[in-house]
Amino acid sequence: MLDKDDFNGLYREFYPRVLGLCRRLLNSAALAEEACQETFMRVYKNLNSYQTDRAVWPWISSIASNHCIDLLRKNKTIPDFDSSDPDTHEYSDPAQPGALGDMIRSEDAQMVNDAIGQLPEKFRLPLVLAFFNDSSYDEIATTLSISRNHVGVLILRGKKMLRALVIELSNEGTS
Amino acid sequence: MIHLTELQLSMFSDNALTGAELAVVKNHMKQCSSCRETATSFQHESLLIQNAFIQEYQQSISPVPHFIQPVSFKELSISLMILSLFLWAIISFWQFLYQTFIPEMASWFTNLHITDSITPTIQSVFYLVKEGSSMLSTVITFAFFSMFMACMAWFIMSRKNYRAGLSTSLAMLATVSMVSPHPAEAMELRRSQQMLTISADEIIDDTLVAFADSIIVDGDIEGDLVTFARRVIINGEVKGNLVTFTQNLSVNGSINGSIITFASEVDLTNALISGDLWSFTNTLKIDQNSTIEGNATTFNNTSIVNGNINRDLTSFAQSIELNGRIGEDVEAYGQTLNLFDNTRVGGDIRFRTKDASGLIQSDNAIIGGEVEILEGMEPPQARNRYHNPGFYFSQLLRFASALIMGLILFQLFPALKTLKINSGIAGLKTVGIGLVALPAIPIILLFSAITVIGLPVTFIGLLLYLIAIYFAKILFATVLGKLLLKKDDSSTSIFKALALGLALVIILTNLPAIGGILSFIILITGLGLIVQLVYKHFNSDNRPATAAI
Repeated sequence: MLDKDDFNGLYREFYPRVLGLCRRLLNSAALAEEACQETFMRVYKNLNSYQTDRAVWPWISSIASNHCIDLLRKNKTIPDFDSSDPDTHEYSDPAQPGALGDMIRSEDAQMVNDAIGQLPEKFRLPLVLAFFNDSSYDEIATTLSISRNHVGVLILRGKKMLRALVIELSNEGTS
Repeated sequence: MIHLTELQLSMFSDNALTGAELAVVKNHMKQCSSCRETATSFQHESLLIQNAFIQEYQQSISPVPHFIQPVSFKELSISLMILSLFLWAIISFWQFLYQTFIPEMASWFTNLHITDSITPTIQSVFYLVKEGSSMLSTVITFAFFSMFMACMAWFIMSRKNYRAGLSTSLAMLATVSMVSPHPAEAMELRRSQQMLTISADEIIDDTLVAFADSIIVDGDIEGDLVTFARRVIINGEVKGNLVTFTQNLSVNGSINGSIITFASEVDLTNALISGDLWSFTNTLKIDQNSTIEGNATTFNNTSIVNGNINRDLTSFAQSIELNGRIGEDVEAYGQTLNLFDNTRVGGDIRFRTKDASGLIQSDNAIIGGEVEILEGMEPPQARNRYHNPGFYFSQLLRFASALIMGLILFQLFPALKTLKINSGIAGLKTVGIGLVALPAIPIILLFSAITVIGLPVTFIGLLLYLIAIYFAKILFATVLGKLLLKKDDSSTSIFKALALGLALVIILTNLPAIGGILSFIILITGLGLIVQLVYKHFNSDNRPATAAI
């Protein structure tokens, strides 16, 4: 069980990360700040229910991601994960997995992040949950109410689109 | 060779495969360098995406804004309660000072006639202050006696601290015997089978309690005079109050305090009463040379007032004869009201009677205000209390407010849900503790206020005391409800128990005649429960408080 003094430490430590998570999930800086405050408000109210044998970040991030998903659902901007998206085909298999690594090794992480911001929500949400939030496929499946394999498909396609977008942005930069 | 799919490799790289799926992938990768290479690329890619995320939020770190902590339900409730108590204290103090009344619409907020208990306490304290040194010795005696009783109760309850309890009790006993004045100095008791006379040259320094067939007081009594006799004649001076239980009372001297008399006949002849007159008699006669400087309230068969009453006269009598001077208003309930020639009334006259012809007014009588006849009306208290629908509505509101406050209390302090009285003896013990605690706590706190350091302690203590009194009846109601529901375990629906108990408490405290006594008993029982709970809390080796009493 945590107390209010513990909370102040948690708040200072995790605020930037939660803000980043919210910004990635919501794709909006303004909404992210509100969501971040609401997340910590919920953390504060649920300090008593927190079990200290659990890691803190998964607990906080699950609150944040659930809240963001709820916001997206409320605003009806959450995508239909079951529908096939024709956009995915044009990005299909533009390069091998190593291509993205080459881009990031060249210290152009900002470009990758810009590319992530351009991903459709349908693919951005699972990617952010998996790689920013460290959620397992099962946790993502629960959060998005889809199956685990479906999560795998979305993440795979998301990676492919990301590669294509990075290459595209890279080409724009060089030309 | 059939290679693994991208999905398999991607999920493998993200550690998303388990069981048979994982085994298939691992077996294949042992033989296939191409898939191993692709999987490694996927893993690397996942890691790099993670790093990209981390780099971004680390680069975009801005000053962390201040977090405004939400006001919790508990804090909000406590704030509201403190505010309510503060307002209630101000209103009570205002009412005490100016004898105004809380608007009827707001009175439901007070918990089950809490003012019935508090107002007399406050008035008692001010009365003690007003009476000064003549009463101080009695107060000191009472205070130390109460402290001694409280310590004795603590000693009896103390099992673990036997030696500490014993030594404390002995120390208190020694202090009481040394500090408190001798009973004879504070109060004098005299008995006689025949006549008891206080001669003209005799002065009684303190309060006198006298039992005799006849009592004649020609001398002076510095304190109060309490008499139990067939006949009482006061020719001298009583500096305090006069309380009599007698057949005939005749006052020819002066009473510096008030008179409270239960008698068959009361005659005031050449009497000077500096305070009020409360008379419960068959016949009351106030001659033309007598003066009452305060109010006169009489419950008689016949009231004959020829003298002076400087303030109000309130008289419940079959026959009321006025031939004297009343400084302010006259409130009369009866069959006949005769206003003779010498009647002088400074204010209004309200005569409540069944027959308007019962008012006979001389032409020479002078009335400063108006004369109002309220035909067929009974005394307002009797009528309003039970015949007025508003009374029942206010009781419903009182029930609802107490229920809400009770539920908030149990939400804040769940340990209180386990309060119960296990046996009849435990119940009696609880009543006894409450009876001692009710006066002892404020007196001890008032004594502690003598020192400057003690002032904040007194203030906080009095605040807690008022809170305890406020919730005493609610806690009693809960215990009562649980007893009746016969479910005394913690899983009992506290709502049902509280609602049932409160309903019964409200009914009991509003019963005619005995409602006041029941209200007091319920109050001290609830207070006793709280005192025991606090005691258990601080003597349970820091374990959570449980409250089987």
